[in-house]
Amino acid sequence: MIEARREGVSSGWGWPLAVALMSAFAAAPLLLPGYHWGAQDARHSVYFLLEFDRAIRDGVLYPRWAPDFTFGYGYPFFNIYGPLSCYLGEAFHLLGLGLVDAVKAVFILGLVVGGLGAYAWLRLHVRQSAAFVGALLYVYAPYHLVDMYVRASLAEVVALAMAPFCFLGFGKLLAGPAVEGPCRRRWVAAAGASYALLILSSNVIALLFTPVLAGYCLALWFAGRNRSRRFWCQVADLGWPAFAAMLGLGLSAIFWLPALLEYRFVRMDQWIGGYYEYRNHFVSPFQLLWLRWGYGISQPGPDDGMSFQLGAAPWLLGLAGLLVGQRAGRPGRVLLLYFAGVTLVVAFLTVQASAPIWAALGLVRFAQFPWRLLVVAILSLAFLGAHALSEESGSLGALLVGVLVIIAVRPYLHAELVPTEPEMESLRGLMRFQQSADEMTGATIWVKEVPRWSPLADQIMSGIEITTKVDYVAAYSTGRLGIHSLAMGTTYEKVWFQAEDDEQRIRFLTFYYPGWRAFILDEESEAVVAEVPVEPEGELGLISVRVPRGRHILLLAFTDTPVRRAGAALTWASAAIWLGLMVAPLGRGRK
Amino acid sequence: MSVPHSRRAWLLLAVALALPALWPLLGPGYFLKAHDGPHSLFFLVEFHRAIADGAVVPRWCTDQALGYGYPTFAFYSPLAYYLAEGFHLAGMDIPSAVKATHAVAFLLGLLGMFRCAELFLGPVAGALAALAYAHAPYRFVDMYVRSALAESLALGVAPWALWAFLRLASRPQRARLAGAGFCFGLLLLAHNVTGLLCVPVLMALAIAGCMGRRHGRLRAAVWCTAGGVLGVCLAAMSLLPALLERQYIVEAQWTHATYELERHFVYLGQLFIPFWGYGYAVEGPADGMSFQLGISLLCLAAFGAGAWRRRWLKLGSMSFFITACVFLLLPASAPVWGALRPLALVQFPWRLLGPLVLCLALLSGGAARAAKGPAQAIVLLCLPVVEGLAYAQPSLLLPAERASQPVAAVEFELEYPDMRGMTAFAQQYPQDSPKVEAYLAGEPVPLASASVPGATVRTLHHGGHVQAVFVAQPEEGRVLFFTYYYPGWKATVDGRAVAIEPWGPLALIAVPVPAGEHVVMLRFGETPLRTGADCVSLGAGLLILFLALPPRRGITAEQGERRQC
Repeated sequence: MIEARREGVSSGWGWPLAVALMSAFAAAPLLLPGYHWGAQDARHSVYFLLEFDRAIRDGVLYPRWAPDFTFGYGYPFFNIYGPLSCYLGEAFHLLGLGLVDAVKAVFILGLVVGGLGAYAWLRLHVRQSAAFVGALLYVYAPYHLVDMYVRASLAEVVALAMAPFCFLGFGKLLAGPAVEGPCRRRWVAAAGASYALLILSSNVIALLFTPVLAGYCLALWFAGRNRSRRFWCQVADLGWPAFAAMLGLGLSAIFWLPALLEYRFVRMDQWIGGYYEYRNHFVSPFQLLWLRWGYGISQPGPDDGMSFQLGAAPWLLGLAGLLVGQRAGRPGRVLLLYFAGVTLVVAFLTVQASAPIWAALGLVRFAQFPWRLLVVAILSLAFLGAHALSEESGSLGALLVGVLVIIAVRPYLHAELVPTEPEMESLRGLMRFQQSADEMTGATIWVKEVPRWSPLADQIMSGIEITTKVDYVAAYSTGRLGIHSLAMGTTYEKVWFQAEDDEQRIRFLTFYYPGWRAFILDEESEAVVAEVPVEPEGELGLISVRVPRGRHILLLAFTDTPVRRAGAALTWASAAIWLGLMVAPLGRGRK
Repeated sequence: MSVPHSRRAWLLLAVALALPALWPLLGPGYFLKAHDGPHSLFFLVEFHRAIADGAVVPRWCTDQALGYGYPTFAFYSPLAYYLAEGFHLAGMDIPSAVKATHAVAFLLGLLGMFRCAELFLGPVAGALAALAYAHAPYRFVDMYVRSALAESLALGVAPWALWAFLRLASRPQRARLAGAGFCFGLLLLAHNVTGLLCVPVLMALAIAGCMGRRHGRLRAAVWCTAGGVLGVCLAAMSLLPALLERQYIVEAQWTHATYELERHFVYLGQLFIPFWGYGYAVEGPADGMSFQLGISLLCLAAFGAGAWRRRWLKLGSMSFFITACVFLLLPASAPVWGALRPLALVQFPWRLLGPLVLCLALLSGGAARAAKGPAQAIVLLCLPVVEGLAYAQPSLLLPAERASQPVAAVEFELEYPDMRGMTAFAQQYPQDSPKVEAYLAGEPVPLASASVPGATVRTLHHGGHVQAVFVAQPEEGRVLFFTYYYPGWKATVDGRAVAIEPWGPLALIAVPVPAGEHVVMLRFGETPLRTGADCVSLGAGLLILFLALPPRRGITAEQGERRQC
């Protein structure tokens, strides 16, 4: 077992406070009025939160359906997108911040928490001052700043905040004899929770980090195992991290199980082909070291508008750490070699030469862009760089290096802010964005042709509130159906109808997707009388419901499918286990 | 290994490390495009013209307001221009004299901060604090972006004032009282607004110094107060007219529109973002100039604060002052500024960055304690220099010869009409003047005209404080000088004093002149108020000299007996 740091994970508050305070320079651009609306995913983050907020205010505690995406036809966005960043943003929004300010608050929180997490994790392996440097390398890694100010990828920033905590939790389980008994149970719970939060923040980033995390556990186990014990006893030490991983998967099952099994119901060609064709987004090797900065987008070829650099400070300090760290004991050397290898593999997988691997392993489904793997290099280089400080350098050396790390990225600490007009945070802004950028126009597999506009969008742009999604034009075409919408929410609509025969259909301007169910309610008591099938219809795959003759109320509702119910049940069960692990009494533990 | 404490060595090292920041001042160009770049030149031109006319305390700028003149130095602190004038009289041209003054301000600040921090934490801390202060981004904003000569000098003097009061609080003595009064007076004479903004931090640290004494706290506080009063008295020659003669100018020209305080708040992020630019401060966050405090300054201050733990009163005072300063920079502090109307003269809340940087630099000296050897200490000293040198880059331009001529003021005001000053006696804004064409053509400028037909007026002397014309007119009439009427102007006709009056919508000076040939002279002198203020300053100066001299030792009884024998 690796010898635990005598000081524990983090003794004293001075260094963590220094990390938090010195992260202020990285967060400073967001402390100004305005928002970097022109950043790649900046508008997405605001409109994701807009939809999330509408669902939460409608009483949907775990939203899956975004009712206004794709010009009002809706999209099961939150069924396949990690919701953690939206929950955090919603919390700030409910506290009184506007949508944009709430998103900015989450960016800042993610940055600072990521730094603190990196510090806490690195303290497992190095002393305080070195962990301080490593944390700053993590915060100020150029790709981290790209995620903040060029891509404005909120989910990735939140995932980068969670990732170090995962490594901390799993590392602690293999850290040594100090972690035993009730203490170990709580670390299992912590590791599981952190892994769940990573998955809930971004499934893509979680998938990228999972093999690295697994390798880290194996490297820790390999370097610190007690060879005098039986081999199977040694292997049994991996049981706890494995259990924590399972717990994490269980806790997050409410998200990933439906995302995994139901993503086939959305059109993937929109997110893989065309601009998103991964073959157009390999990085040229020199770009990994080129210090150029830009606020543009990734283009085919080497003339990208954004930076893919590893960063002068991270790779110089990483190299120094690899060399200096050779003086460390065997466990330290094993981990250094491991993370050096991770860095090299990541760098390789971003360049064109790795194309056959991408094609063979289908990595495109996970990463979408090869350069996304740079998120892993942020962590590995922080680990290596933390070892660059020798024992003699002390706290002053750490301060000097830390300040130089910040100064090295000084030109990148800038956001192209634009004043926020009230309309930009509204549904009209969303419609305008969808039309102008052809973004957030996802479609389900029943949609033959992705719409470019809709009658609902017309209404929204005219300032008319959407109170129904019933297609009245289609409904009145037969002359044998009367309809009146009674109520509408983000995931349901209640419609009174009078049909003169059994051939009448009510169509809704909503994309069909598994989970939409239709119920016939008694007109007087509104009790469920029967369920009627919901079918996709037409080029747009809109919901169509055949209704029985007579006067009734139709309730169309987005409900949980068996897969979603299974995911939720698994999550609840895992939560119960997690709670049990956390509150188990501190009894006599095995010394 | 401990750090050797050779004071002189660390001081010299600090100066050596700071000199590269002054490299741009050695070049042939001048940063004419800096915000106050042209001002610094033509203010010195005007100052020199007044000195050349024998004015010991220049007040009037004869070429401003399209040649009608303006009492700039009745309101603008003169110390920087005295210093620049000294360089100019020594042989430097106008741009070089201004650059030399900037260099002196920079080095003064470096040395002053060294003395301040050395008082408590030793010479290594002194060197670090000095370099952190000298290389704070706002110092380079004042020097290379704004070319704010007066403010730059004030920030050079401010650490000396702080040092003097801290010494006075620790041990009240005559010489230290003289030093405190002298330094504070110089601070107010350098830039009265900056001096005003530094008063809270001087008071806070002086009070902390007094409270930190075991005995005689009240006595020390009284001495510190006396030092403050002495300094105010020394600066009276500038302060009193600036405060009490405001009704004679249209003050709103310098406190409204682009100078409105509410337009110039700073956003919190701007204090941290390492942005650099040479543009102007505008309303909102899109300022063209930097308001950052500096990465290394902030980090060193945060790290060095721990070394001040034992001096918790001073640490508390500085922390409170820093917090208050940051708050007053933000838009949320608008009600506070609005409640204190005289603060409108500050014009820009971001001027608080000066005293704020002063405090942070003092704190940053504490970081030197962590150095385990001379090598580490030297590397630490290089940190603020490495960051600051990126900002020690003015936009150099070779100035036209005219930029150092009186015509520069006129050309500037033709380009920026809102910069033409008005006196309170004038009823209209100066759109043009009979002098402009002559200025632009480089010809002798007409000083006056006669109301009598057929009269001739010939310029005899056109100086900063003195104007003389030869008038020949067939009958008695009025000679109208193209100069604003302002208290202090006195006229003589052939050496005899005559009364003057404001004439016309611009309230120009009208002098009654009898028929015949006469020499009419205008001389700008002191009013009773200004004379009184000058006397107060002179008295304070003499008192400071007296206090600074070592006291004459009394004859002891033994010595007395030996004499008798």
